[in-house]
Amino acid sequence: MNNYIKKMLNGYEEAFGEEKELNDLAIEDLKSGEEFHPGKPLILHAAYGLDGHTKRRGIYDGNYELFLSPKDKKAINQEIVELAEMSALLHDPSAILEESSSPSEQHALAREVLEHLAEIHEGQQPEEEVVQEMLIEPLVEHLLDRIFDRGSILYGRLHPTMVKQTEHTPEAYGHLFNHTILQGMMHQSRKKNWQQGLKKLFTKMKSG
Amino acid sequence: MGMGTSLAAFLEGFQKGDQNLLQALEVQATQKQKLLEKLMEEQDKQEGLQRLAEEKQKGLLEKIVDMGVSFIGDHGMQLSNYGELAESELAISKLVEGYLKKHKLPKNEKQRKLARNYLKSLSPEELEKEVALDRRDEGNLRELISGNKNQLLESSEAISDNNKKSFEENHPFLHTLSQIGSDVKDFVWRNPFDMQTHRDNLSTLAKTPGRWGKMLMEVLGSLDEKMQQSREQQGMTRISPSIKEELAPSIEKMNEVEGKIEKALGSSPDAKGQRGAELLIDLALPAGRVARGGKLLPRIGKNALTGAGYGGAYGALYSGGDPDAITSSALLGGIFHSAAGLKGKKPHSKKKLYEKIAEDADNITLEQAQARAKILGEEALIPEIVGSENFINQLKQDISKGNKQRLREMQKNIKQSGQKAKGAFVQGEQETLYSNLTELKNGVWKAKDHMYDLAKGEGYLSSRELKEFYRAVSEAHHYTKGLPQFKPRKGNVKNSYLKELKELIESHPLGDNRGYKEWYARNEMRLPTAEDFIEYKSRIGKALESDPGNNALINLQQSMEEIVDKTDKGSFLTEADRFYATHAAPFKAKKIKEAIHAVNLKQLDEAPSVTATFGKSSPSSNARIFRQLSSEDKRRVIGSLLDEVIGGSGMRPDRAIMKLWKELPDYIKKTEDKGLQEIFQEMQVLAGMDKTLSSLQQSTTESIASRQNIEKASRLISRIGYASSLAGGLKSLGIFAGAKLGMRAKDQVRKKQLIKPLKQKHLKDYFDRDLLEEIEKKRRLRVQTLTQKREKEK
Repeated sequence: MNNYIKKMLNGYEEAFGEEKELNDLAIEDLKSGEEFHPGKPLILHAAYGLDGHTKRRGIYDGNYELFLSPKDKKAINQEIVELAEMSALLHDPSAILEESSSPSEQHALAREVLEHLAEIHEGQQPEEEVVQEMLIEPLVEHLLDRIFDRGSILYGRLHPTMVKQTEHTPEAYGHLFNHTILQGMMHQSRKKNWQQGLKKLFTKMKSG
Repeated sequence: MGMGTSLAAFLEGFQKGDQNLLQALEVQATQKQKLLEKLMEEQDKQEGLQRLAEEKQKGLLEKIVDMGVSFIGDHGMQLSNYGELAESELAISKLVEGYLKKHKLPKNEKQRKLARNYLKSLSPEELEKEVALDRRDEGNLRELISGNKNQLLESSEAISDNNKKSFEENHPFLHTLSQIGSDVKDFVWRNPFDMQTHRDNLSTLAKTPGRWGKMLMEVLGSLDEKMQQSREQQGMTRISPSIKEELAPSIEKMNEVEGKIEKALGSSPDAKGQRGAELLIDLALPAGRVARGGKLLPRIGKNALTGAGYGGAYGALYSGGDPDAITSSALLGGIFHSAAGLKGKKPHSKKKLYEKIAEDADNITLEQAQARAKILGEEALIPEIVGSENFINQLKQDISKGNKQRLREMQKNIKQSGQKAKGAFVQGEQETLYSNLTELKNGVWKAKDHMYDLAKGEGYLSSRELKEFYRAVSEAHHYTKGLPQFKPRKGNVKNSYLKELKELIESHPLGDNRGYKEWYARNEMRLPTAEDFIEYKSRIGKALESDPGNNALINLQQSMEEIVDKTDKGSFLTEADRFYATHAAPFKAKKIKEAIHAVNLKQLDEAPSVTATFGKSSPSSNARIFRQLSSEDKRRVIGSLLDEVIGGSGMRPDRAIMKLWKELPDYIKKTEDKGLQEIFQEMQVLAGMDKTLSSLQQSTTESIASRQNIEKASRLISRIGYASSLAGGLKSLGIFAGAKLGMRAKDQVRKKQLIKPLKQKHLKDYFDRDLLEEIEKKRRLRVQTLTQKREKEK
């Protein structure tokens, strides 16, 4: 799970090179919590973004620590990790075939579909359009639906909480947060990753 | 200064504690009043409103002239002789104004129309006679008039018609597009600071398929942020303009041509349009990013770049994609926005409108103002109505309210009005959330106030009680030396202390408001509290026992009795005094504290429950607060928790302690307080007996085991101090942790109730059903083969 968050942050850093220091801060945030919540750096990452990043870290840290109950934090973290995973899967196909002892449901499904596609094409790499239609599009749609779900705990709990004692709106925070999550999916390198990654994967699968 | 700015300054001033702003506001109000009177002489309100309505109806062309959109130039509308048009329009309006001025006619739209028609019929010579011209315009206008008078007065319609026609014929698609664009821009221009409109327009554009849409999403993001900034800067929410209604026709058209746009840019690309789109993308993307990043450039730069984004977008719509036009639009957009950011002002023409509304609003009641705001639609700003001088003056006159109280009222009022106004376009969930938040905030304030009163010291004396007490003591001190101390650690009453006290009391004006309480709490160490007062009364009583003939003491005692008598029944001091007399006085003097606690407890009905307080918030903050408590208070907290566990169920104390031990959070169990550690050891032992007890319960020795446990628990309870100071426990808990944590817990619970259950579709629902079925079949097959294989192996 942690890998996905890391990928997410790296993706963001790659896209916005000037914000490198944010990653360092994010690592600090990751270490600071009482319990291990890999989603926390992403949460604060977006929050600092509202104020030019470093001005009021204290407030956001406080908002996260004081106003979110452990149960909330856990649920939010779960949600973020899933979203981040989805975004990472979309960013690079090698993540889909990554070995994992206990893959998540979405990871497993994506993997099954990809393997199935390889099989029905008799080991040959299917057309890009086929992969796009059969795998990428459903994943993208699902991610977008989840990310913009107004009833989610992110909208209901996280976004309003993070902007307490600031002049920002939950919507402004939500926008930045979503943007951060979507980075992996939207970044330019995605297309390249998929073109090269698929080729590699299918060659490997054929020989394997 | 616009009304919006002045209100924001007023609020900000209060937050900084700068009361000079009030005076500044008074001066400003006087100036405004004068200005208003002047305006009232010139024209009455009805005419003003009519003019506003008429301005709204102005034609598109006139709007463009007003805008000074020379940067569009030859592109888009193909106004090749746009300069000429603008010039003649200006000349006409100057002639008309000159005519009105000379004949001292009211300057309204009706008169202007009449004047315009009348002037058409005049010869150049007659024109010169009829019109009073400014000296600086005289030369140019005379030239225009004598040059070609007829064309001058007919020119605007003629030029625009010709251009429209030729453009329409030559570029039908771009014509439609530019018309839509102009409608949108027209609306945006009339509402230059209505970011919601910008956002709506852009989101409509963002629906366009292909790269346009995606990239516009970026701009939308920065706009969202900017909208918020704008709201904060103005300290209010705009009254909702009926954006959707007004833009509906344009949006409809937009939808119609959506497909056409795609076609034009995609399959048979119009070279210009394609280039324009490319350029727009390049402009909009960095603008959005930089605005969002916020770190690279100061606000002005952000404004400029965001502005460039909009400028580019509009430029593209207008120019039919000419890159030069887009660039110049973007540049102008950028300059416009950065200038707006620099000055913090609205454009001139708009500002005037706002000022007028604000001034009108000053002379009417709030309801009337709101009614007016409805009529005025998008032009009316809430602070202009709610934050009028009248409103501020009303608050100023009510001296019984503290500054902070006033500030809160203002904020509340503005928020409420904001809520009402917002209701028009913020829907459902969001609205509920905001109103609930407001309600919650108010609730927190109220509870905090209450807690605050009780938290500091052991109750405060009212300003009257304080003054009278001081007077009585200093009088007694004048006649007899060696009065006992009435403030711990202050020693016997001395001249120096009385002098200090006098200065302190005089340093604060009368009025039992929150400000007074704050002042009391700040000087708690030096001012006598209610506890000190009651204790002092008993000391004087004792002193009289040993010196019954001391007149000064007798007088002092009587004065103090009078102070209590004068106080309203049921007030803190009388209640504490009565409780002391009936419950505490027969015992030791230290029981006074408990008397005070008991009264506090009685008044503390609203205190949040203990478990809610300590069980439902973040452990780190609970731990922090718990650490700060004194040893005695820590014991009280545990006592109170125990009481919570027992509740109304009448649970046996040993059982209760076992349960409590299990539920006690770690940060309490791991305390470094030695006294508590001992207690915890015993609790642990008792809790450890739970299992033994369960097994024994089945046997005949149950009663014996229970009795042992109960005895043990009773001893423990008495050590915890639960029995003797439960009241104090609740109170201290309420004081030190309750208000803050309790409200936070409540807040969380309320929030949770607001969250809707997730209604997500499962990931599987997004995939092709046939594909999934095939995969499923294959999986079954695989399992089957595997099973068969295993069976064979066996």
